[in-house]
Amino acid sequence: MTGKKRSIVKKLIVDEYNDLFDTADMEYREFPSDYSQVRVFTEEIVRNAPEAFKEGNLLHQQVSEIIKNAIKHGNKCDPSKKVKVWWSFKKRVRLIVEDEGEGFQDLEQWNEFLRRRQEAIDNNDFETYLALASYRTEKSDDSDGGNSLIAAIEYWNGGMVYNKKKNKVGVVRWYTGGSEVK
Amino acid sequence: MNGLLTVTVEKTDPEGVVVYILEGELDLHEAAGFKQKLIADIKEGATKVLLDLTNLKYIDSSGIGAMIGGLQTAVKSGGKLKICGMNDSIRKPFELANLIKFFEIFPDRASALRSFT
Repeated sequence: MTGKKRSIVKKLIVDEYNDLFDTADMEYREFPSDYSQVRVFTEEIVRNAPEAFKEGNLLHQQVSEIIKNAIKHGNKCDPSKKVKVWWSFKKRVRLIVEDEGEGFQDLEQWNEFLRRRQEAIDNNDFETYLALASYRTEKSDDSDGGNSLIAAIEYWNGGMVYNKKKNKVGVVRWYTGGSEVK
Repeated sequence: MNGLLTVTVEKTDPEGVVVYILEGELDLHEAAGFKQKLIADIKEGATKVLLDLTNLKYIDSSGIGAMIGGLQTAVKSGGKLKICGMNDSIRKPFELANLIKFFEIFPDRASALRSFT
């Protein structure tokens, strides 16, 4: 068999009725769109997670990215808008975050960005990889790393799904031995 | 979690490497300021740059984005930007974002400085 290596490229998907939006038995809170409090809100969510799920501060970091996106890119830091969060740590980490914004309109563009980025990696095309290291648009500022979704789609290993409006995301991370965690 | 970042900048002799020693947390609150300084320094002539993360306790996508911006600027300027002292907690987000082979990463400052000569 010949040919260049081609990695499987994950995608963000839209599925209004996906099971990841089932909020039964999940904890729930609403947070104001206060960008300065992103990490405080995050700590409120993750503080009761089993230690095995925290992975150092990785869980905090990944949850904070989703909260940050909802407050900044979804609600544009509008103090009159809320972020709704559902979470569960039963056998795995599940999280649903909904904002009051217009939705992630660049979703398909982002999927194409990720495909081109992975293609550059597979081809050892460093110049293209360098240009595509982070996802930047005309709306990006210096606080936007442009890499949070790239990491998120890997971290949330059980799925990352958007609703039809793309203003709500459901994610899940499974762990080896997760069912043994009390 | 305290949201504080301290950045100490040193220039080594004889290598002429500008070392940024980061302590604390490089997060959404600190990243923009650090990125602006880093890029400004590189544009003003810092062609050999080392980020020492030995005492960095936390990083998020904003902090990683600052380092990507620094690297992109350094490469465009014909310079080098390298990283050392990355512990597992800091390394994991880089791995998830498939950025590990994007940077030259060394276990400690001494080995990183040797690589510039």
